[in-house]
Amino acid sequence: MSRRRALPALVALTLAVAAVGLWRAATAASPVGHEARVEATAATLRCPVCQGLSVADSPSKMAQGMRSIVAEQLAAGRTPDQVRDWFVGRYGQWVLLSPSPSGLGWLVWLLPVVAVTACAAAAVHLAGRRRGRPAVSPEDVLTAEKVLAAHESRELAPGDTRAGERLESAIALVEAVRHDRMASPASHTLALGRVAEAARAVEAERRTVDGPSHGRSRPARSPRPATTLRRVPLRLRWAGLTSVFLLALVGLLAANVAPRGEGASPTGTLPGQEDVPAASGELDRLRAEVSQDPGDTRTRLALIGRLLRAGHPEEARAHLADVLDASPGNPDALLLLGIAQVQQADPGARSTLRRFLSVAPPDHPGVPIAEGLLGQGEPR
Amino acid sequence: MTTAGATAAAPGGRYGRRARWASALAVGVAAVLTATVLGAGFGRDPSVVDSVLLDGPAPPLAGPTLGGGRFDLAEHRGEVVLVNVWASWCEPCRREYPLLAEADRRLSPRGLQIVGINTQDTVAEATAFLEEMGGENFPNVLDPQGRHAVEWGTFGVPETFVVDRDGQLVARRVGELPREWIMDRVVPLLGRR
Repeated sequence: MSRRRALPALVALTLAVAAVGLWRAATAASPVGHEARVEATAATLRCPVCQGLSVADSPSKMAQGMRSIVAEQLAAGRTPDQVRDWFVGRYGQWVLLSPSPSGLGWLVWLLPVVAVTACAAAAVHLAGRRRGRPAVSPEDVLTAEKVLAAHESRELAPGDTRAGERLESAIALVEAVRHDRMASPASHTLALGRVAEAARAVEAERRTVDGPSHGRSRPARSPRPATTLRRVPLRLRWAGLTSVFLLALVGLLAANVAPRGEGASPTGTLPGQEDVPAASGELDRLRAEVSQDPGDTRTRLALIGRLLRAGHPEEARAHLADVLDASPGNPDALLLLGIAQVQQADPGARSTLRRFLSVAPPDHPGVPIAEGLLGQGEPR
Repeated sequence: MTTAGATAAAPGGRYGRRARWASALAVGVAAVLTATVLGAGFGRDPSVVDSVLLDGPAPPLAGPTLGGGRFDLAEHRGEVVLVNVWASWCEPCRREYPLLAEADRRLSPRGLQIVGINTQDTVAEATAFLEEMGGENFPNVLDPQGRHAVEWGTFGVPETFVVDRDGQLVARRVGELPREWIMDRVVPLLGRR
């Protein structure tokens, strides 16, 4: 029977997956190199904005900020656990993707182990029972044939006791096997074995009932439907399948939760600053255009604007210096320089912005921005 | 499940009845456990995570402000400080701002200092936002990378914290501020006029 072989194989496979998952989750890989350590530590922290993602995987600004904090703290010589504690001090245990094995967290670590052990024990127990079933002896076959013959000639009265019903169902099974052309001779023999077993039980029951107490004045036990008994193997099968399913689930979860070591994260390495692929593509395109035609001020200013938005004020200022060398009174360049200086907290920002206001036409769209940047600097 | 299976598999005895009791018990226990776990899980709002910083010292907050100045929370010991994390791209922040401006106008004489953390934003966009709101009323610390926001354990914008005169973090609110919150959580900390 293929199902009989498939189930243990499935159980074994699931156990293996669960074990690997647990092992990966429990043994944190020790990555080599600063970058890899930052990545590994960030992968254990949950991003507050995209809550399903780790800080390593999330492209959000917040996650970038958290990554830079992780990088700084690791560079300062703190251990990954100390870094994690720093975040726990601000966000609580929530921020950890794999719960720490203290408090209620231990339950999450312990449950899979308990589930695996219990299911393995149950599987071994079941397998042992199946193997332990005695082979059908020639005597059994003989007994069964006699019982069947008696049943056919309606001489058999199994009675409405439990054993009697068991015998009836065993006889029905033999008949079913005999009608089934696909049934193997082995299953026929097994069915005969059951008949013999049930017949012996009926005999034993009759002896206890008839023996000491005589007569049937007081039945030993009220007749009960045999369905409970027949359902047991089915129920066990369901229990097994459910356990396998649960185990598979736990295994997959464990594998998912496991901190990713030096291996690549599913979303790949994220680009450094701008992080949005479209934006970085746009930047590269503008950079290429500027290097082809350095005299094209409009493209250059567009690139500078992009650079500032992506948080590269140094590169932007290098381009700005070129533009302002060529045309010192370019209002757009002055405004952008002022914004770059504000970003870098450069004290020269104010004079740059004032110069912009002095050269810009009154309807220049940057005027309110510059006025705003200047106005709020006044001491309150 | 395993318990039910093992009991049912035990040979002999009052087999059916015991198996049935055992499985009924197991199913009952499993149902109660599941109901408890799910009840506990669904019973609370998953978006609410208590701040571990509450009732402890406020995190540091120092840095350049949007207007080109500098702000340091440490210099405001002895004042009640309301820290508001915001960004120009955040719609609730836009709705909330007039309330903050009003609170600044009416409560700063009574010792309230409001400070914004302008997080994950650009200077140009934040400036335009404040222009639209009628100018900057209180200092806003620049936080383009969201590092201050992380330092304060925030999840999004807007989020608001109250630091008392001793520098302790005494209140936190996720989301748009209602006027009552300021009346309930901030005003009682202030002196009388």
